Amino acid sequence: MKLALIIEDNIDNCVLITKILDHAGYKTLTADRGLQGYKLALEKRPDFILLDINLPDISGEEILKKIKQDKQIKSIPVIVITSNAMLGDEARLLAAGCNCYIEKPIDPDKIIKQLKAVIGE
Amino acid sequence: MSTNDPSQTNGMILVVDDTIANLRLLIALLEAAGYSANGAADGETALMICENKPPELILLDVRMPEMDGFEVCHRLKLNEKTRNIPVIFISALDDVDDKVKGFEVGAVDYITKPFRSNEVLARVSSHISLFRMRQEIEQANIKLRELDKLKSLFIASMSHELRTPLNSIIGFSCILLQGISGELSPQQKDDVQRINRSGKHLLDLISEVIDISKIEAGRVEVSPQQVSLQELIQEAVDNMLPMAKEKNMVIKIRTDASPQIVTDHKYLLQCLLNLLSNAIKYSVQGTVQIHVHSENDHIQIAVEDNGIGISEENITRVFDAFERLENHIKLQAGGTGLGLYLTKKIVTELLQGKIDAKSQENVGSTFSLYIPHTLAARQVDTDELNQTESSRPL
Ligand SMILES: Nc1ncnc2c1ncn2[C@@H]1O[C@H](COP(=O)(O)OP(=O)(O)O)[C@@H](O)[C@H]1O
Ligand SMILES: [Mg+2]
Repeated sequence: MKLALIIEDNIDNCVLITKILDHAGYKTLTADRGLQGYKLALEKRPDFILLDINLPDISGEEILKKIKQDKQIKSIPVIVITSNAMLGDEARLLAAGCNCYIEKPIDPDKIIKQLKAVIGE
Repeated sequence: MSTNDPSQTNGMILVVDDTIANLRLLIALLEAAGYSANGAADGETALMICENKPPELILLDVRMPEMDGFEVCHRLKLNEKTRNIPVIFISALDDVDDKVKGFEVGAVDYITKPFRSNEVLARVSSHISLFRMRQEIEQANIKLRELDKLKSLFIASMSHELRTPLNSIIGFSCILLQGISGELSPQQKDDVQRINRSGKHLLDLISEVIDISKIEAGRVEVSPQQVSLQELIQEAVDNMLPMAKEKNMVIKIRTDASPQIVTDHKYLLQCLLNLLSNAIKYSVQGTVQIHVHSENDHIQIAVEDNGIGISEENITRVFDAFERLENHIKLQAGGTGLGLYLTKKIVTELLQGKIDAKSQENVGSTFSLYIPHTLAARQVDTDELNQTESSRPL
């Protein structure tokens, strides 16, 4: 069973994603702060990370960069979740190393398809 | 009104005349009437005074050595700081050409010498009060524009906040529908479907309101870049293909040119998507065609459908906010009535282009975008930049 790390501060959204992943057969781990998420990633080495872009402590983009610049965990696929995708943001996030980019509102079918593609299942 | 009362004056009147006797006479006349007056004996001095302490009115002699009155006036009008100061020419000449030239270089009035004191005072008084009123109106306008921006900004922020709970409503109704939390009865499914559909409609509304108010608040940055029109159109078509397929419709691209243009990729794409989705939504079946046509300085992108069309009396209304025309397809099509309003805003205010619509009822519609080959980069003034940086991003 693969392990997912969800970094998302909005509790409802966090529950939503957890339920979807749970249903699809993944184990989940959650963090509601960016730095806490980064530490969990180092500790637990999840198989992939779902990262919300709006976080209260540091922006999701910063966390993304931190993860992707850390030799120990940079190979973990990161799926960034944003509200209203801006094409400009997308380019920036991809440049920062994000593996996939998902727009809110979250569509259960779509999110599973996309993340399967990213983690190569 | 108090502005007519010269004793209330806190600005001053500048008198410019190379004849010292004239200068003294006019200053004495103005001061006796309660104005504060200042004198300059030549053009250079006058320009310097205006630059340092702009007066509320200038009485300007036409005939002066070195720099004549016309030249002084001309230069005042070129300077942002002095261009609004009203200028009254004073000249011995009663030459119609001179008068006309005076108005041409931007004077508000003309007095001929020898003058009558009460005529001078009457003209001075009326132009000073006009000037003050104009300044008040300009100040009020600036204030209004600021308030309007603030309003738009408030709407944008509020809408942004609305989106988070809405995403939960849509997301959870979605997992309910997919049976992730257990199977639903057909009845329950129908109810949840309604929640989901309403949520999505609300989200569309909110997203469009955010876009509109961000543009109105001047918070949108366009980034002009090389755009391959062919690729952009293909991207739009790929996006709309599922929607077209559902109605058994096809989208055809017919271009006699596939130029590279410099524009904002994201916003042009958004406009095109809007037009395409309308073309599909407001057709029962048939074909949507995209024509690209290159002109001297712009390209025309036309989206043509053979759908229900729009009557002549309604065609101008489709660009209004919240306008949805009555027809048999309206309910099924769904929509906010903001799509074309936003599209027009993007095209005219961000892309420096135009949009128009031609249509015939029951025959079809053609919506055309006219986009400049090269979008000039917008100058963002530092004030605006500071503002953007100091507040949280939307
Ligand atoms: N291609 C079209 N053919 C016929 N009617 C159209 C077309 N495009 C727009 N309209 C009319 O203009 C109205 C406003 O369009 P729009 O601003 O995109 O709002 P919406 O599509 O959300 O209703 C639509 O409701 C429809 O009545
Ligand atoms: Mg529309």
